[in-house]
Amino acid sequence: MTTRADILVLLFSFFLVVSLYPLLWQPHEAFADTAELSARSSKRLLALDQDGVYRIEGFLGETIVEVSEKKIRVLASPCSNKQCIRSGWLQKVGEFSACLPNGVSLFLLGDDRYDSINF
Amino acid sequence: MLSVSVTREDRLIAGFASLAILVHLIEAAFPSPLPGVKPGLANIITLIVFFRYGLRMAVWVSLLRVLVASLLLGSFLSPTFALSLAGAVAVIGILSLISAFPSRFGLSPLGVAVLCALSHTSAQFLLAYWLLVPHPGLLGLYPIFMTFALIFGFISGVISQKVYRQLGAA
Amino acid sequence: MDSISVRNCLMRLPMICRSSLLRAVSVVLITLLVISCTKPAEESAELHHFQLFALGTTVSLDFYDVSANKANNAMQEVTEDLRYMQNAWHPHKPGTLGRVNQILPLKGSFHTSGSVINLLQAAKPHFTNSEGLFNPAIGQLIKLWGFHEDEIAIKEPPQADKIKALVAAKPGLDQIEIKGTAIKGNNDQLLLNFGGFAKGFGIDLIIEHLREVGIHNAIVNAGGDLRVVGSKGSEPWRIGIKHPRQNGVIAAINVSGDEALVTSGDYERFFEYDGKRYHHVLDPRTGYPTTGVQSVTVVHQSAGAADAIATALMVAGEKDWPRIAKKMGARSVMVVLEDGRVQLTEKLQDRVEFKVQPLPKIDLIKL
Repeated sequence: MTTRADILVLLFSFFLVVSLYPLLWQPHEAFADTAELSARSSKRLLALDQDGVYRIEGFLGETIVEVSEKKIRVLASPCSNKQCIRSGWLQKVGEFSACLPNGVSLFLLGDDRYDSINF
Repeated sequence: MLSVSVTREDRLIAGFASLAILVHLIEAAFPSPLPGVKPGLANIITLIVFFRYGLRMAVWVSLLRVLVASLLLGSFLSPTFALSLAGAVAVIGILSLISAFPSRFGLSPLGVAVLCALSHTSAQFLLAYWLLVPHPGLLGLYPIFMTFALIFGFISGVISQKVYRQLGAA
Repeated sequence: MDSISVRNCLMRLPMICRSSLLRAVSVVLITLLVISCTKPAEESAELHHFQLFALGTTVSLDFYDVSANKANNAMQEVTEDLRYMQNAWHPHKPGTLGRVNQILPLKGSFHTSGSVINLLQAAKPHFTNSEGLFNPAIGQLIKLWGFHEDEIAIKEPPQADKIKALVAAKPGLDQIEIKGTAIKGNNDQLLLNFGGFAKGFGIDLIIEHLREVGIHNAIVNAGGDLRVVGSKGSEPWRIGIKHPRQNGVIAAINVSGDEALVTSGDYERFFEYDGKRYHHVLDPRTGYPTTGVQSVTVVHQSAGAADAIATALMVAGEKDWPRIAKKMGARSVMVVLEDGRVQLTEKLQDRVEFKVQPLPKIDLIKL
């Protein structure tokens, strides 16, 4: 009782799913091993294989970041719009989160290191 | 005294919904291979109801299933419930679309099951990305989820087709 | 589909904090004789990093191959410079430009200080060459939209007739006469707001100053405006360019010698109202934010020129920018369009290394 329309749907779905891979699946994107945490007066490198909570003093107050399972995120920030917190976990090379009001930025490094970011 | 008249349709809805809830609960009890990946076998019931009794009853069955299962699992109004509901709504959307065409577009339960599975997963994924984990890394997982959806959609489609054939039209 | 708009709201992520930053500027600067030298051992023991808050953004400086003492002294002087520029070039606060902006609409001749004259003289040729697309005289429009505020408020876009009236008044840099230190405005709607150009021009001056005190390998980065001199030992400076819609970097460019790299984008300062994004780069011809282009990156000799070019090309849009770029003397340009396509000039092509998978669709542009 499988109809011609069924076959069409199956074929279409198959191609749809297959075509999603080149579109979204990014197997080559490298995971970062280090996060660079910069604040007004310091820049420190955090190894992502060591879980922990780190505090850094910014213009407005303390920004708190958390490293866990090779990922890092901003836990708390004194800025008003909290975009840095909303960007969630970062784990891939090149990912970047910043709270400019507080002058704190977070940048993930791997084999590819940047001396500066143009934004 | 308050009297509620129960129609035949109500009984059918209640019967099928409890069947779907049972499947849903059993599925929830098993650990999934990948977080978030579920076979979605409860959709089989929705599909059979859709083919035997039409859209209206299928909507009832699937919404009741989501509601009652979440109450029983204690996830009512939690993110899990929202995801479940999003999936059910997407399936209802697809079913309404299909039933808008004469002779259901010529589709058997197999084709409909695959379409439902893909839209179910897509809706859940979009909601998860939007509300729960707004991380671009999540998008990379979408193809994988869709692959599982295709496979499980196919399996539940084959099952529904067989069951539907056994039962015959209502 | 839907995912695009979802992405939009999520992707504005980190840069946004910038919107609330200007308020802190004046207060914070004073407390900020910020000195730090870090970066543990590794390969870059001689790299000195500093950060401070000025010109409406976080300015970061890296010096390579100098003693800590020299780096700290240079940093003190640079901090003075930046504080001076901050006061002189703020369009609304009491200061040199603030005062100019009060007198200019009166259409009389008056004297002002060299700091503003220099900035104005530097901006004028870019105004002319860009056919008015780079126009720092539209301060009134910027004010109407609220982009002059340190913290951009989310509000209804201004009324169409108000915008129309300001566009019709046609304030432009060509209506300001300069004789020595005397200037005279010929339009009562003139209001100077140099925006990013002041940042670019400012870091050009900082680089000059650093050279004078013997620092020959440095990066000065003021948000989207960046200039380098020298190199990092045997390696060039490696700069990541932020993706206009994602967290990470869209491409990397190596720069060395003496080069500026400036990116102007619709993600830097904006507000969203009714699901629509209104960003800070205004088209002087329409009075509305530009459309069609997400970001423009320009590599050029000076950061001031590169900023003016990047701004003008945002306004010029997909079709017209190559012509304007030519007129403004730009050769190395990368444009990210609204649909994610990238336009790249031949000269920049070999230097850009894309960091996104899959690669964006790239159109080569001959200049």
